[in-house]
Amino acid sequence: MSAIFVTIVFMALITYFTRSIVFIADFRIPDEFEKFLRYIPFAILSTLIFPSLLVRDGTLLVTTDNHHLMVGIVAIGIAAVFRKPVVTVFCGMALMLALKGTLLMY
Amino acid sequence: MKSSDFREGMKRAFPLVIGVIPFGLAYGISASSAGLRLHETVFMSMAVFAGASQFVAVEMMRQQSLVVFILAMTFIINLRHILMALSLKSYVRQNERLKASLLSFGLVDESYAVSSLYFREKKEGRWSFLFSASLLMYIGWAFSSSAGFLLGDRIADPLAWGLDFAMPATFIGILIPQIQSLHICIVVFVAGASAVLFKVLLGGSYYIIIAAVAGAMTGYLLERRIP
Repeated sequence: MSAIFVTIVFMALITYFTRSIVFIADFRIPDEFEKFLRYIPFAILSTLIFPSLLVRDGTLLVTTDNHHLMVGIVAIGIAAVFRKPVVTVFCGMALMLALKGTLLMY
Repeated sequence: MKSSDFREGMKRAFPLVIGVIPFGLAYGISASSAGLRLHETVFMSMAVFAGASQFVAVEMMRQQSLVVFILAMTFIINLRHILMALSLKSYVRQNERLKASLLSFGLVDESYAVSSLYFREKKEGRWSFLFSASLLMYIGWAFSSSAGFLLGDRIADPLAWGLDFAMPATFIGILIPQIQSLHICIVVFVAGASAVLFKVLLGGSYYIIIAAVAGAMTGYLLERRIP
């Protein structure tokens, strides 16, 4: 067995631990803590979205050269109007590819 | 009931699978250039099933890092799952603990995002939904990883064409329609702004947990002060 294989097995165990420990352990979430936890889905999604639009190569980039930010703002508008994830993804990707394609041509 | 949850999970996870494919391809390409073999590349995707930590691990393997550092990074990057699991914990009935423990294998960012919102909507745990959403992500991740490895340097880095925008696009697609109150809107703003701030200041991946806690704490405090 290669060292890489063994590393992957341990990575898998560690990752599964972080996903399952809360369910394996037998405890009840206190009501006050539950109120906090109810906001976690929205908070986590926000932490995944905003840095990928605003931070490029480790620095804050708020210019029109930041295509992710520009198309991201349009995608937020599309999501707010159409409210269908599939529509947002396809329109967003189409816009991004059109923008990159146009810039390549000129 | 169960089969309708299963179908709904497939339906709602579908746009997210589209979003993960460019990352799977990029991971496969990166693994192949780092010297991993096909079976190792695919085994990592199927056993670990955690994109961000796989990217980092492959990069560290390329630089011949010590295994213990690779494992420590895996733990740090995946710590956010504890927070995600905590937020689903109250949906788990006493007799569902084993089921939830097993299904948590598939708790990736995407399946968590759709499932947590679906559970919230239905006001109870719908485990067939989590299972089908995870399964679809799993298949998409395993296949795109293999495809990336096999295509190798024959295709340019898919993330360079702006295809990495698929990830924020899918998350925008599911988050924005769910912002149905001022509290949630403020939570989104606080979590988003602090994620940007901490990512620039700290780098690494701690920013996700710090910012998520800051956002949710804001929501909690608002709820307590403004009933």
